[in-house]
Amino acid sequence: MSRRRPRPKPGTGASQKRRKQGRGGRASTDILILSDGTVLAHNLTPGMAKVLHKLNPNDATIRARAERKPKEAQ
Amino acid sequence: MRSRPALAQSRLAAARAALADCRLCAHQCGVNRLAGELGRCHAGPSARVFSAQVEVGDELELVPTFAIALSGCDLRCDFCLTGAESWNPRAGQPLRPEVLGRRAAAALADGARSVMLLGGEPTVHLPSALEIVATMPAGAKLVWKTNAHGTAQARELLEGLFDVWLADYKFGNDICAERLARVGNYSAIVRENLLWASRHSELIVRHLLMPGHLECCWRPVAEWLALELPDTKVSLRPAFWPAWHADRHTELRRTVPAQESERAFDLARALGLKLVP
Repeated sequence: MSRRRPRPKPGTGASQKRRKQGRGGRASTDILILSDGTVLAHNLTPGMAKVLHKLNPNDATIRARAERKPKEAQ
Repeated sequence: MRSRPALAQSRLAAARAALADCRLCAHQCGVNRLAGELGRCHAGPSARVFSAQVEVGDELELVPTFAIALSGCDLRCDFCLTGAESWNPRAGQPLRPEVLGRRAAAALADGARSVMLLGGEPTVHLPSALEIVATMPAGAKLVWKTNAHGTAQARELLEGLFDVWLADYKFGNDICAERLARVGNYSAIVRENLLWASRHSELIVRHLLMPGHLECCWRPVAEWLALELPDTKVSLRPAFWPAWHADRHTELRRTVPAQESERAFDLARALGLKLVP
């Protein structure tokens, strides 16, 4: 069985619209959820790293970033 | 010895003057941006900012980082994750260096490890980049996130201002570079920049693994790094996604298969590259 992967079209995806609206003030992360459940993230904020870590605590890359301590706290 | 903000300030006039015959990136358009002429990047004399926020997605040793993204770029990578802003220097908000300086100071006080200047490509906005550096707290760890396509003139203006160069080495050959980013003589220019950066600051070389480009792009990049910059940190990023105009290229209409990603990391380990998470 073949799986179709999402192919965002230039300038029409939700992330593009959100970026135009939101980048001026509020922090934002772009995420892409693949049909197999894989989540890819770009411009990852600390808040979104925590959310993704809760969704998949076993992902080492996200865990390292979600649990990254602020400089002074180390 | 001058402080870094003072050094940046002292170079500002020269950087602005350079826009009258712009040769900051290796396209060397030679246009007068101060008079409204546009080169390949289409950037005017002033930068705009499309994102400024604390992020944790970059290399672990740099995060949390306060990332300042300037609109506009000299490359035209069809797979650009921020294509709408990188290809359009009029995107985003007008640059207000003093505001960014205050926000960066607050982020650092809140535990950020670095301040990162990126784009698009910050090299095309070098005068604005110097303005930003001039407002940064003196002890801040500053990161220059670049496509490594600048000229000697740009490097001279940047010398001593950034603690870390986080530099992309995207393509392993000039044919892929021309086809996917419409840039010529790519390899020679990037290598020149990387070698310079390795001598003048800490350097992390980043490669975004593209689907179907392991042999033509990652292998030559990895082999060159192993030979010429064996002690340099290398960040291999497998999380490609088919953004922007990626669908113009059949092989870029997907993510990187797990097996391909594993082979890429195997190659890096076999060559003894200093991979960083």
